[in-house]
Amino acid sequence: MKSMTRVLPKLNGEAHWGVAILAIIILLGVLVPLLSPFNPIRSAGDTFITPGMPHLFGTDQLGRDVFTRTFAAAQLDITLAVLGVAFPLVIGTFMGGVLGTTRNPVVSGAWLIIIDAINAFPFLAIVIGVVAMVGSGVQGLLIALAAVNWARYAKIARARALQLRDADFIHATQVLGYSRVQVLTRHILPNVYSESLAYGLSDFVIVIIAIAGLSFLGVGVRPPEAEWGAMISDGRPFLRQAWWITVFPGLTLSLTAIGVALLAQGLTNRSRGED
Amino acid sequence: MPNEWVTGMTEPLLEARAATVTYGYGGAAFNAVNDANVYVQPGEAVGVVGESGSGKTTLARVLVGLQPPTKGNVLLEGKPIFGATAQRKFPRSERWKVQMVFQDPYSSLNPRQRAWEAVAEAVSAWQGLRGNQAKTEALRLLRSMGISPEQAEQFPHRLSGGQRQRVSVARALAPKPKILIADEPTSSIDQSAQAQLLNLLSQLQRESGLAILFISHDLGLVRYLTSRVYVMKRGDVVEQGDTVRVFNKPENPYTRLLINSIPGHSSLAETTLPYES
Amino acid sequence: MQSGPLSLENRAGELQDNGQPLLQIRDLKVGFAKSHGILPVINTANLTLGRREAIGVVGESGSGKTMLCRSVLGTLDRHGARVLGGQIMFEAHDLANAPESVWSKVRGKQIGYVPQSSLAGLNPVINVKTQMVEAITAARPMSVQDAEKEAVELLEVVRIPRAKDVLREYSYQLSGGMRQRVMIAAALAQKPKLLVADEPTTALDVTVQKEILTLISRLRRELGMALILVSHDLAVIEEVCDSLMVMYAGASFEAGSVSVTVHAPRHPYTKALHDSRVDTAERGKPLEAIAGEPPTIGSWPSGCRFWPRCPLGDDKCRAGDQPTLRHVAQQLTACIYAERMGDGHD
Repeated sequence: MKSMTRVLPKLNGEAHWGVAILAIIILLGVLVPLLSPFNPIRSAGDTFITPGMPHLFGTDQLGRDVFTRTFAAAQLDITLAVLGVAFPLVIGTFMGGVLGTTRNPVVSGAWLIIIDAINAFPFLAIVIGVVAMVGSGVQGLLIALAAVNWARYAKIARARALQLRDADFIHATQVLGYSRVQVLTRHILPNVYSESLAYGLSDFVIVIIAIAGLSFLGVGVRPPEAEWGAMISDGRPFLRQAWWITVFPGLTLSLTAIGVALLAQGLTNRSRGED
Repeated sequence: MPNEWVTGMTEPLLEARAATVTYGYGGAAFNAVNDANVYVQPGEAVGVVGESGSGKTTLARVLVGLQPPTKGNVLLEGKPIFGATAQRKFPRSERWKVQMVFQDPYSSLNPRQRAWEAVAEAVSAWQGLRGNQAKTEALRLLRSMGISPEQAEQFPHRLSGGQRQRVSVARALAPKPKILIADEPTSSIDQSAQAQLLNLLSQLQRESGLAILFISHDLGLVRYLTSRVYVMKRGDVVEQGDTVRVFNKPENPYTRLLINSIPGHSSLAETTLPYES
Repeated sequence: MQSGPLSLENRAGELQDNGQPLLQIRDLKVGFAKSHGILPVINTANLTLGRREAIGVVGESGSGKTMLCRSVLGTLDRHGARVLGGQIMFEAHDLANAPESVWSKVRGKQIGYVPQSSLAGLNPVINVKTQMVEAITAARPMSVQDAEKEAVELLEVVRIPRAKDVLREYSYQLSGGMRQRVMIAAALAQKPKLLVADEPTTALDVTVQKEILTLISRLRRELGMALILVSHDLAVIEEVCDSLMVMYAGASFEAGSVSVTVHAPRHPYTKALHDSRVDTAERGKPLEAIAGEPPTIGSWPSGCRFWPRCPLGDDKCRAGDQPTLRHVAQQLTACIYAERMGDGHD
């Protein structure tokens, strides 16, 4: 029975929808300089033009084209989210793998306290704290995300590595006299990272919302850069007379989050079928 | 215990001398292995039989260097190399001489390595071969275990339990060991796969002079394959000797009970059976 | 299985005991419903079981023997499978694709089940008493006190010492052998006519296996139950059963009395299974291993599913469908060359 499900590890319907949504948003993000005659950070004419032609999503309080800005922001937000997930994923998975295989109780105990301490704080509160220390802006945001989020990946990776430590194929590496580095890189980490990756996809949504949220609070991406959170924040005072300034970036942000969530769900179902 | 089974002048290849493994502390402490003296001569096929809790797997882990004994030592070619008064770690330079095949074919191979990769890794670690040379040697070893080059390209989950165990044997043979310790290697594979694996192992032992220590609960298997046997019960070696003698004239009552429990060895009479506590 | 007038008189209450088999499985086909179609796991199985008869079903992994048990227990749908054809005649009912209302009268009541020896059968958070009382009151409403009294009696039937103490324990506190005894006691609660035991001793120690097999044999005789014992181990079946059905790649390959089928097989697979046994092998002689691997489910070869591994296999074997069982000598066999096989190999 097992072999049958393994022969057909196709993506299911959910994941297909996720991929389709993300592909459209990313494609528009990449193509928007070609599709749109407007500049995302320069005024394109009158302010508060209602959606229509040529301003598909209207213009904002400074006369910038909201369609151009929304998809210029897609580029920035998705790139930031990928990096914001990737750095902590790589650092945390590696740390977790090392901690899960070390036989030194003092070292692993000390690190565990640090990890639990980081994980105990509310995510956004601690990110804001780190941004306050390292400075705001794109770099500060990425450093803050890495500094906070690695602990979650480390926790997951360590738990998995602890399970693996008792697997016979790890015992076999001991009997075969492989070095610790070899065991870690070729046997532990390749079996740990798939779980980190699964968590990473679900984390992606949180990170994308966090970036938008932090920019909304004014500690993330700085104006006039187009960013969903900043755009929503900027448009908020004009919500009554010009709803399109907030609604379109908000809608795209939500759709991206939904797309990633569907993809993550599909992949989780698949890996469950495989194991 | 008098070592009446030492024949000739040969020195044991691998030996557990007065090995005790204690788990737990204080009042909860118990000996998983209790003062065991077990040895294997070069090229010999030796069996260790026992039921769950007999300590046979712990003994295997001690002999292969995965578990240091609390008391006593492991001797390799006459020299104490691992144990209470020797090193606490089995020296890496001697690892290649003692290899192991594990019980569970489903967890003994890395799921992310193709069959040939698992063997090639061991080949490059011990034969100094790299890249294509290591792969060629790995494929040769796998073929000698009845694994075709096409099967060698598969990940473990695409292989049957019997095929996986043969990949494990090929991997264990890569360092060119002097002894193979097999812990219940056939207990979770089908009967036809079991016969294939046992034939390969006994061929290795007879033709290549590889010593084999068989750990098993299956007396029929041990009777068929080994020339000398140790019977373990709750950490103690309760009987040892020539396999044919132990099966035909068991001296210990527990050995007798084990032999009578083999299906087909005595009628299903309920009167003589002691209940477990 | 012919009942004389005397035995009919003796068990006048059992009006249906008229010489008909208790269970007759005819041309059973079972499959999993997959998104891309049906994946067959049994095609086809045949089995006839008389009252008080014990039949062993032997086969390797993927042979369909566990699915056969599930067909008889009505638990196929819980595993995503269903009966695609054939009959499962139990008493006068066809249980193939019977509705749950029928199964609930049969499963656990007329057909008892002893699962593989493991923790899985017993709920770890409920004690033995609760589970036994549940099993007893499932079909016969009675007071808890009466049910408890009966639970103690049942545990004594399966020779559990200190039965009253064991009732208060949880499954993890019991040894593997004790757990299996409790499972058997629970299966006996409704005095079933048929006991289905799927690898009941596989994970047990050899001495405990002996105890459980002894217990099952005795209970079967004393309670007049029929038994289906599924095992990969011919020696176990030889010890307990009257007859044998050999399965391979989802099909019945051979059936007959144990002594005839094991020692004078009329199917090359049965012979190969016997010859590859290590428990009866001669020391120092290579085992007669069956070459190759059993086919995986869903990729059965055409013709006789054993032909790629069979010493008798030729072009005629690989043509058409899996041959059906036919009478040869004293047994049923699916081999078209059964006549070529001698009268025994020992």
